[in-house]
This record gives sequence, structure tokens and C-alpha cells, in this order.
Amino acid sequence: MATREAGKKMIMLKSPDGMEFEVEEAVAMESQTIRKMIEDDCADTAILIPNINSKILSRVIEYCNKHVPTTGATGAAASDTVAPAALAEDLKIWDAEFIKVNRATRFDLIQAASYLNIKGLLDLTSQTTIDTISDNSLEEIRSFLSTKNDYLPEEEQTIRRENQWAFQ
Amino acid sequence: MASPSPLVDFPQHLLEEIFLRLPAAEDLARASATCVTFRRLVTDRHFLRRFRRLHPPPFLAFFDSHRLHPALPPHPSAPAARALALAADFSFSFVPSPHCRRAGRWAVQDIRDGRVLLRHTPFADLAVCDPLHRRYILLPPLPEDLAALVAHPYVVFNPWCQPFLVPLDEDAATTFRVIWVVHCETMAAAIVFSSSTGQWQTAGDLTRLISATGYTLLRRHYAYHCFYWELNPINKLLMLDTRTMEFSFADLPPGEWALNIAIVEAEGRLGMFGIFHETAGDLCYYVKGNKGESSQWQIDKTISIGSGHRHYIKAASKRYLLLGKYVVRRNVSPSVSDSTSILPPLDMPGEECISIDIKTLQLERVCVRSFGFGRYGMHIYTNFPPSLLSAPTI
Repeated sequence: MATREAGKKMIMLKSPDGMEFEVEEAVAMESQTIRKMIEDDCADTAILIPNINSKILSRVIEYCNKHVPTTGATGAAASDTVAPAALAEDLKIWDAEFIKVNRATRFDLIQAASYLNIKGLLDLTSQTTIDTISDNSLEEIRSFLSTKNDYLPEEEQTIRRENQWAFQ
Repeated sequence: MASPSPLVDFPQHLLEEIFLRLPAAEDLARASATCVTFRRLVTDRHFLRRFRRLHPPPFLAFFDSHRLHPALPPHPSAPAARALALAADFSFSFVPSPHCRRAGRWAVQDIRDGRVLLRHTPFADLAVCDPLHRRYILLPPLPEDLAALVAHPYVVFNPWCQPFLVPLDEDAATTFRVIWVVHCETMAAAIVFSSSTGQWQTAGDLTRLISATGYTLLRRHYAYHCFYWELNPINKLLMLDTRTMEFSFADLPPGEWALNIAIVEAEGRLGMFGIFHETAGDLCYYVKGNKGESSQWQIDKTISIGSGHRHYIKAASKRYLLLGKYVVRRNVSPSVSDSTSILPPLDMPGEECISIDIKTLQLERVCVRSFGFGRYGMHIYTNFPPSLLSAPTI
């Protein structure tokens, strides 16, 4: 928090396992859920985020920090010399790196993104999951999504037969 | 640390959000085969409606006046098109004849959104059917005064005077409208059938606009609630706004287009594909203002489709163009359908049909046929293949 600047409103986010994160209000407001709490004046100095542990919450904050729209006065990253296209490209590379996590973490991030209503993060995490479904065999999909085949053999045969074109 | 939650244990709404992002129908079908929970989710009608709204149905086949031509390998839709051809009845044998004593046959007039508009030629009886789900509606006969209009020899024998289907919003999944624009020496008018009222009525008189000038209507196009016709003999379009049922004129980009254009929707703007010279190998793409309101066409890009062959734009749908390319087929081995097997292989003229995705400009060969397909009266059939996503349209 060394870069905290004068005039920036800070708020405290608390995870259920007792960790506290001080973040700029603008960063926290990347979450539509938190934005609504702040705008409705429901937010005290600290907001408890239920269901999201500190490990996941810190990753979410990291994502929001990167994605908060820069206003031009916050430092070198937003300098006038950087073209918007280059910034977008930079974000894309950063996102790709950010989402290199194990499956359990990714599923937790999806739930956090949904609860906190952060569209960009929900898109990113869901899309990564989707990519594992496209172009993979049923067995691979089941293993990626950690689901079990609970069909009766004849049920699975029927479904495969009805949608045979999808398995070619 | 929270223990990792398997995806099946996710709340229903979250699973929905994830599955909605699956790029294609086959991914959804595969996901549904993984476990019972996912199957239940993706077969839910509410979910399927949302999925269909986000994903345009793929190009599966085209129809050239008498028969269906499904996409063949290596077209990416080939497996789905095969499933369509097996499941659907494009001979329309399930649609009963409206006249028990009079001979006649159902002829395709238009295809849109999975529905086919049929006319019991040579009569004016119409039916709308869904060949995949084998459902149909026989339209009530035209009121006498309107039937007289349609029976005018000029209208009967003019291929451009066919009735056609109007695209509706996705929410109106099983309702439809049919328009019949009739024009002859003395008058021109639009008559409309709506499946919600079950009635025919006249809806727009363009006698003043057309007959006085002696223009004839040629090929029809559709974009953003409006139909467009190329006109003979001028380089203009006649436009019908289906919301107001008013006719007006619209411009084409300068040039002699000779029935080699397609008007399309271009992300809020009006788009036009056109081939200037049949053999030049360039498909020009023009765009114009906000939903066609700004008046100037501007060239947006030129797509190379290979010079040295004659190319024609055969048909267009919301998402695809169908392009015909005349080729010479070398050493064609005689097939069962060619009854010329005693003759040695020859260089044969043929036509290759190519689908173009308007959004991605991806070109894919659909099929090839010796001596080609019809030049006009071709219709693209887009739909979800059976069985998961294809919902009855009637």
C-alpha cells in the first residue's frame, strides 16, 4: 500500500478467514456487487465478503487492480504515449498469464466473479473452462470438469446416437 | 483453504453462464453427454432459447428449386448436414394436397429461419412447413379480389413475383408472416398474411411508384426489417419497410451490377456484397451508414475469390452468402447419377458452391455438381441439426 496517494478513497475488504485488504474504492467498484453497496451507502469502512477465502479474494483484487480504467494521473502505465490498442494487447497477455491456475482455483474464481459480479473476470474464467470442452473427448471433458459419467450405458448410447453428428 | 468444488456442484445459474459460452451446437451436445446434471441443464427450454439467441444457426444446406443439397465434407457443417438430410423430409410428402381432385405439386417459394414456404403450383394455395419437424400450416385461400391479382399471367409466370417469408424477432418463435408482392402492367401491391390473425390483407400499394415508371422487380434481399429488390432497368433498389409497409427507392453503389449482389446486415449498418466482373475474382463489400440511413455507400474491403472463373452470388441469408463458381472438372469418373458410364471420362463443366460466413469471411466449399445448379431461386437453409437445439418453428 506504499503507493497510496492523497485524495484516493480507500476501503477495506475482509475475507471470512479474517484477512483484510485495503483497496482503492475505484478498484473495489470493478465489482458491481460492491459498487451497489457503496452507492446505496450500505458499505461501512470495511466490507465482509462472505464465501470467498483470502487466497481467492487476493487474486480477484489483483485482477481488478489491473483492469480498473486508468484516468491518466495514476502513473507510467497510463501515460499518454501508450496507444489503447497496445494497452488492450498488454491486458490480454496479462489475462492469459493470470488464468494459468489449477482447475480448483479456476472454479473458485468463477464463483467469486459471479458473486461479486465482475463481468470481465467471469468471461475470462468461463471461457477457459469452455475451451477445455471444445475439441476434447468425453472422457477428457469429464476429467477437466471433474464430473462422473452417471449415465446408464444404454442412456449414453441413445444420447450419442441422437447427436451423432456432434461426435464426428 | 476451501476445498475445490466440482463443476457439477455449481449453482445452476453459474453453469448456465458457462455453457452459454460454448461456441457451437456440437460442443453443447457433447457437454450434454458427459453427465445427467449437464444434460438436464442444456435440455432446459429456457436455456436453449438463450443459447439460440446468442448463437446463429449454422449453414447446413441449400435448396435449388427441386432438391436439397447438404454441405459435404470437408465443409465443417457436413456431419450436421448429414443428420439434417436423414431426419428431415424435403420432399414435403407430409404436407397434404389442398385439392383432392386437381393435380399439382408443392414448389418451394422461400426458405427462412427453418421454415419453408410452399406453393401448390399452378394454383395460388400456400403452405408453410418445417421439414425437420414435419409440421405444416395450410394458409387460407386468398380473398377473391386478391386472388385475381395473383392469377394475372404476368404474376404467375414471373419468377420474381413469388411470395416470401418475413423474418420475425426470435421471441415470436412459432409465428410468421408471408408477403406477396404482385405487379403487372396496371398495378402493383403487397398483400400480407399473418399467422397470428390467420388473415390475408393488402398492405401497401406501389402502383404509383412502379407502374408509372415501367420498372420491373428483380431479385429480392433482406436486411434490418426491410426488403430490397433490384430493379430493371435502373441501378436502384426498391425498398419495403415491413414495419410501416411503405415502399421507397434506395441507391446502389455506382456500377453495372447485373444481378450479382447481396444486401446484408453489417453490424448496425447496411452491407452489400457485389461482383463487378464475373471473372475478375473479386468480391467487393460495401457498407452504408447507420442501418442504411446515411446515403453514401463506401467500399469496405475487397475479398479475393480467385480469378479466371465465373462467380455468381446465388443466395444470401442473415449470416451466409452462397457463391457459385463455374469450373471445368477434369477426368470426372462417372457416378451412378450420370448415366454416361459407357463414355470415357471427359472434361466436364461444373459448378462449385461455396458458403461465405459474412462475419468472418470464411469461405467453405459446400458441394460440386456437373452442369451446375440453377442460377436463381436458390435458398440457403440454416438451422441447428437434430436433436438438441432444433426447436419446431411452426
